[in-house]
Formats: sequence, C-alpha cells, structure tokens
Amino acid sequence: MQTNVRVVEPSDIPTPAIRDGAEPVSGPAPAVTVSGVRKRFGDVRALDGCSITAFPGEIHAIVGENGSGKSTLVKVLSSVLPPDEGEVSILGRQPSSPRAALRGGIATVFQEILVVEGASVLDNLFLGHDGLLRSGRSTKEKVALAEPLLERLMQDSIDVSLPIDDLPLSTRQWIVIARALLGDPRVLILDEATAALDEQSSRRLFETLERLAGDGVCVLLISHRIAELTSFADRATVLRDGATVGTLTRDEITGEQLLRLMSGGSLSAERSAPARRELGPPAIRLDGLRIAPGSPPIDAVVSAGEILGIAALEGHGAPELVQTIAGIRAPLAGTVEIVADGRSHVVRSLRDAERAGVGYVSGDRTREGLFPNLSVLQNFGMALYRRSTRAGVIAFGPIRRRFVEQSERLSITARRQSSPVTSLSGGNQQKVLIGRVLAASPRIVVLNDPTRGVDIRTKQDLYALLRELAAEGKAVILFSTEIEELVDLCRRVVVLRHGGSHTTISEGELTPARVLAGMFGRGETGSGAA
Amino acid sequence: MTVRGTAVSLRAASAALRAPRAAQAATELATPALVCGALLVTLAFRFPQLYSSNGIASAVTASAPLILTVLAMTPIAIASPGGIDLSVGPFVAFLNVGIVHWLVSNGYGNPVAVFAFAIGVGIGFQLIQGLLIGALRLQPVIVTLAGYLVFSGLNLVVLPQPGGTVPGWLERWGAATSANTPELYLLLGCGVAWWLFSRTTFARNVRLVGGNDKAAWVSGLSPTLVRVGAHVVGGVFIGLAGITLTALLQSADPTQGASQTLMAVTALIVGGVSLAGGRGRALGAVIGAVDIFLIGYVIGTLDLGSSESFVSNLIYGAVLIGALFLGSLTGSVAGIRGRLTRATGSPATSAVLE
Repeated sequence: MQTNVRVVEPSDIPTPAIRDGAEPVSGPAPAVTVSGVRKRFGDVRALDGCSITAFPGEIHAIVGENGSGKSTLVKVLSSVLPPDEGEVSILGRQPSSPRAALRGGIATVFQEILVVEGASVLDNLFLGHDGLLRSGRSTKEKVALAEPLLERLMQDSIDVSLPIDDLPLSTRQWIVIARALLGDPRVLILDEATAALDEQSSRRLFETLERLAGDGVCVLLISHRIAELTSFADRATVLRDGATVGTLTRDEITGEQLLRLMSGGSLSAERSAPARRELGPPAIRLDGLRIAPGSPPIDAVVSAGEILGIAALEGHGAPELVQTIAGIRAPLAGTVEIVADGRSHVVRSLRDAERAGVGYVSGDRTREGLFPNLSVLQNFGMALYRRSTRAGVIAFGPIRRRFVEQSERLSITARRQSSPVTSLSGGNQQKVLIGRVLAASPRIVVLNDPTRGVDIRTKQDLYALLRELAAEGKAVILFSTEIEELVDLCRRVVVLRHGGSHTTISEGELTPARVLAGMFGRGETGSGAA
Repeated sequence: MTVRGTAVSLRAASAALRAPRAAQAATELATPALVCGALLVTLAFRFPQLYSSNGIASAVTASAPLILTVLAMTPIAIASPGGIDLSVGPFVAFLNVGIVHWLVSNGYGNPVAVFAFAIGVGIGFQLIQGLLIGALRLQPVIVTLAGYLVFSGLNLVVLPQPGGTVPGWLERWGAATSANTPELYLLLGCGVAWWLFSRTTFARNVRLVGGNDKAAWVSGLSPTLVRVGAHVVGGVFIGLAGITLTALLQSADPTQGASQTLMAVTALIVGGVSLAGGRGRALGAVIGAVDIFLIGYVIGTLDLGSSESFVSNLIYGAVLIGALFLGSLTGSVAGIRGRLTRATGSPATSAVLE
C-alpha cells in the first residue's frame, strides 16, 4: 500500500557510490551544505565553525556530546534560528523562516515533541500544512493520508479524530514524525526522534528512513544511540564544542571511532567488568504488586548492593513500576516494602518513600525533575530545604557545601551555581538531579530511564556512579530503554509484559538478545506472567 | 479490493470523527448548560413574566450587549494563552458614546452609517490590540488593561454627562414588545456566522496557535497573522455589541464600561473558555453570558433594595468559582479515564507484537 506519494526526479536517484558510503566524485549536487556557521547565545558559543555536506539519498548522522551544538545546528537548518555567520544552503536556497523551509521541502522533527494539546491527532498531523485561510485538502483526504501512514509507522491503528491529550509520549513522537513525512520532504532532519520510542519502534522508523533515502531523500539524523548510528548511518559528521571535527564514512562508523572523535580522544570506551561482590540482606521486597487494573502481580526481592534492571516495551508498565516503588503512584494491590536498618517500611505514598530513604531520578527532566525557572543551586537543593532551614529561612550555606561535594563527585560543569539550570546541557542537568537525590543520602535509588537524551560521556559517568552506589550497599532499581545498559550494569533483569513480570533473566544468561526476546514475550515464563 | 476497502474505512473514519467530538462538546458545555437550566427553572417560579412575549423581548434587548461582547472575546481568548480582553467594557461604551454623540447628533443616524462606524471602529481598535499582542508579543492582559484605562477616560472626555437620543430604528429595537425583533435576528445571525466561521481553516489555525504557538511556528503557521486575525473577528462582534448597548440604553452613557468588563470575563469563564488558550467554544461562552444575565434576574426577584448590587457581586464571584470547580471535576474524570487506558497498554500493539 503506497501512501507516501512521491515523484522521484531522475537527479534525485542516488548513485550506488553514495549508498556505499564513499564521497561521490561527480555525483548529484549536495542537498545540504553548511560551511563555517557560527551562532552565539550571550557569551556561549553554541556553533563555532560548523560545516556539513549531505547528499540526496544518504542517511547522514550528526554526532556529538550534549552541548556540542547539534540541536542549535538543527534549528539553524530548519530556519528557526538565523546563523550569526557562515553559509547555509539547503536544496540550493537559504530559507528565511520555518515556513519557507517547509515549503522548500525541508521537514524537521525537533527534540522537543511539539504538539498542540486539546487539538485532535489529525489537526496535529497537518499542523502548518494548511494555509492561513484555506485548507489544501479536505478532512477526508487528510484522514485517507494520515491513517495508513500512522498505521504503517506504529503497527497500530489510531483514531485520528481523538484529542492528543491522553496519548502517551511514544504516540506523540510518532505523530510529529508523521507530520514531517506528510510534507513529502526532500530533506528530513530528525533530532533525537527515537528518544521516546522502544527498540522495536526505532527499528521500524529506521527502516522507513532507509526507504526514504532509497527514494532520494536526504536524511539528517541525530541520535545518542550508538547502535542506531553504526547500523543505519551512511556517513556521520562529528561535532565537538560547536565545530566539525570530522566526517566518517559507513565503514568508519564504529562505537570507538565516534567516542574518540566526540571526546577529543580523552575517553576510553572500554567496559569495566562488573565487580564480583557479595550481596547484602534484602532491601526491597515487592509482594504481589499490581500496577494496572488487570495486570499480573509482580514479586521480587532486591538485595542491598544489587542493581536490579527493569526492561519492558513502551506501554508495558516499566515507568509505572518504578514510580510505584518510589511512592509516586499508589499500588493497586500488593505491597512495596523497604527494609532498612532492620526496620521495615511499607511505601504507599511519597511521604512513606521519603521516610524509607528512597531516592527517585527520572530521565524525563522537564516533567519529573527540573524547575526551569530556578538556578542550578536551587534545583539541586530542592530535597534539602526542609532539613536546612533556620527559623523558617532556608540556610543556603550547607546546601552550597553539599553542592560542591556532589558536583565534584559527579563532575558537574556549571559556570555558576546561580545560573539558570536550563543553561546547562542535558547531561549536566541530569547530573544536578542525581546530585539532588544523592545529597539526601538515600538507601534506595530508583531510576526511570535516567540516560534519556544524555551524552555518552555523562552516561559513562553515570554507570560508574551506579556501580559505586551498589558497592556502598545501596539497592538500586534501574529501568532503562537501552538494553545494553541493563546487561552491563545489572546482575538480574526483570522483564515486564502487560504490567506484570514476564521473566527474570539472571547472570550467566543475561544477554541483550535474551532481554529483547523477553520483552517481545518469547522468553520462558516467569513467576507472575499470565 | 483496495478501492472498496478505502471507501469503507473512509466512511468509518468520518463516522468516528463525529462521535468523540460530540462527546467532547457535551463535557465542555455541561457546566454552563446545567447552570442555565437551573436558572430557567427558578425563574419560571419566581419571575414567570420572563416567559411572556414581552418578557422575552426585553430579555433579548437587555442581554444582547453582554452576549455579543462575550462572543467577541472568544476568538481572542482562544488565540493566545492569557488572551483575555479587558478593554471590552469601556470600548463598547465608547462605541455607544460615538454613535449617539458623533453620528446621531450630526444626522448620520441611519443604520448603514451606524453599522459601518461600529464595526469599522471595532475592527480598527482590535487590529491595534492584535498587532501589539501578536506582532510585538506584549502580554494580552497589559495591552487590554491599557485599552480599558484609555477608553474609560476617553469616554468622559468625549461626553462628560450621560445623555443624547437615538434614531427611531434603534428606539424601536429597545422598545420591542414581542420576541420577533431585529435584535433577535441579529443574535441568530451572529450565531450562524460564528458557526460558519468555526468551520473554516482559519478558525482551526486560531485554536492550534492558541494551544501551542511554538509548535505552530516551527510547522510554518504564523502566530502573528493568526492572532491579528482573531482580534479582527472579535472586532466585528464588539462593534455589534456597541449598537445593541445603544438600543438598550436609548442614549449615551460614558460610565457604563467598567462593570461590563468584569461581567463579560465572568461569563466567558463560566462558559468554559480556557484562559490557557486553545480551548473553548462560542456556544459555551454565549450560554455563560445568558447565565450571568439570568442570575441578575433572579437577584432582582429577591427584593434586596439598596444592598442588591453588593449581593449580586458576591453571587457572581461564587458562581465563577463554582463553575471553575465543576469544570475541573469533569476534566479530571476524563483525565483519569485516559490514564487508565494508557496504563493497561493498547491491546492492538500487543496483538501485533505477539
């Protein structure tokens, strides 16, 4: 069923040379040329001599740590921001506004999932496709275009007339991707478009992208998932501190190469083997826990000094489970019991969780972590205020000392404690949030996909930190959408399906393939599965 | 096979398009409609004269300025977060003063001149406000508060004392004794006009920009143009509100505006128009205006004498909070239902993945 109607012009058909990843000698004209672009915000140089050439028919990755200028580059390419200096030429033109860029065949999926709450899925899909006063297509035509496209992308049918409000993040992500595809772009830019998608969905997206590239579309791709880049990118341009440091061809794109270029050679990508340690006494006991109506119960025991992994496909209850353990949600049935210093605490609310010493770190920083209007220090101190007040006035002295402690431990790079937290890169924001939790000296640390949208160096720091916490005898529960992370860090991984525990994979059997198979319901059945 | 399949799915799709929309409309309109029903029943006992032909005629005349004012505020409120137009009261009074003092007293009291003046000035003023808010990105509350203050003063400069006369046709509007009046047709015409407007692409763009202007802008939709346009649409209705106020007062009153703004804002919120932008319906706003108007009638039947104005303010305040509370209740019920569906996961996804 061909839904994405496209006219392929002869000049758009890629030469085999490009698909093989080599620089074309006399191939088609580049679709995107960026040379010497600079962009400053105040005294921060977001882009400082960035150059990229991308051709029709290739999937061109733009790689760099957080804060290296990728998102700024995306905004310059989509004409959301004008460059201060340098040349930008897309399909031979430099559009002056997002509207002009879209009309010129450039579609962008931004990192922020931009949807209009209260409007229907259909209106969100065709946002901006209509004119100011006149619509290009009738509602019927729109439905006929949108429904098959969404169904193909999501492998799920969706009522496009429903308001978008109640839809989960992953569906919203698909909607913004579909919005870009509906414009039949010749240049498609995706900034972390897989961040809210599970692995299976990401793979489906990449298959779509490969098909588009085969049709002559130039795909510019930003992703923190190395596996995606090594398997799907034709070429990769690496940015560091706002400048281009090199372009890799398909054969050269390996995890080590990317890490070396991104970090300037200072980072070693070797995996440290998990240290063999004796585990402590049980610290968390989940007993017949139900997190959704009709879902099977979850039973598990986590020992002090253990990192327990949670894996699940989107929509199978993993965020709900970790939120229940952290006291954010009340369990529908069963108990969450925390054993600390020989005393048992039952967690039913945030207050219980705080008393039991549960710290919660979320990767969804905008919704579950940051106060964007406050400074780095104020964000950091959020959990300490109640304890460090004198006569009702917050004493910032001790909080400042704690911040210095934690920022050394976590290597937070903030120019000033008083600068707004939003001036930090995503990775550093995440470190501030982790520091906030650690400063309250928790016994249990619960993490909800903490490395979402975080650069690779910060991820490495975070892994080291989690091992350190476990070595200190804390019990850690880690939900991650990156299976490699779980396999590297955890002794056991609980795989959830339909909101209940499907299987538990222990050391020795713990491989990415086993976890993935479990997520798709193919592993052996665990205790709680229906 | 494909053709037939497509046709079937299209029909299913368009049927599906209507059902949830109707349900959504029902939850949004529930609160103002319930209040309205309760008031109508109360008035059937306390003020049965309302249900006579004369009673309906005077109710139409007396409520038309508020209804049209609220209708004017609706597109402006939908188009931007915090898009509340505080200038409406004094501005409608300015139109009233202008019609009586400038047009009628100089012999231009014919309907064509009056309509052209009121709608023209209405659009002109809203164009200015729209440009300040849409193009210069000034906060709507500040811009329209300035408008409120400017016209409150200007009205008294133009006409220090209430007075003046209205032309014969406006006199007949005000003195109507049967429901079959031009004013009723004006209101019905405005309803039809709004219904037609709400089906346009532009009206959809107003909602989208009001819901998330950043998403709209990066998708190629200009928030500036859409917001200025929404103000212009509001300008048409505010002009008509000026004419109906003149018919109601049968003269010019430069001091009318202040309380009218507060009444109109109350009606708008009781009618379920969200000040967060992007949400709300004109039908709700109009029912909200009728609610506020009928509350005035109910209070009038209580024979409170000199304390009537204090008591009515107190009751308007209580109704405002009550309506917001009821609205949040229906909203949270829908929210909980949504969360439950999400938590259990979509059965269709699982089926495909098995």
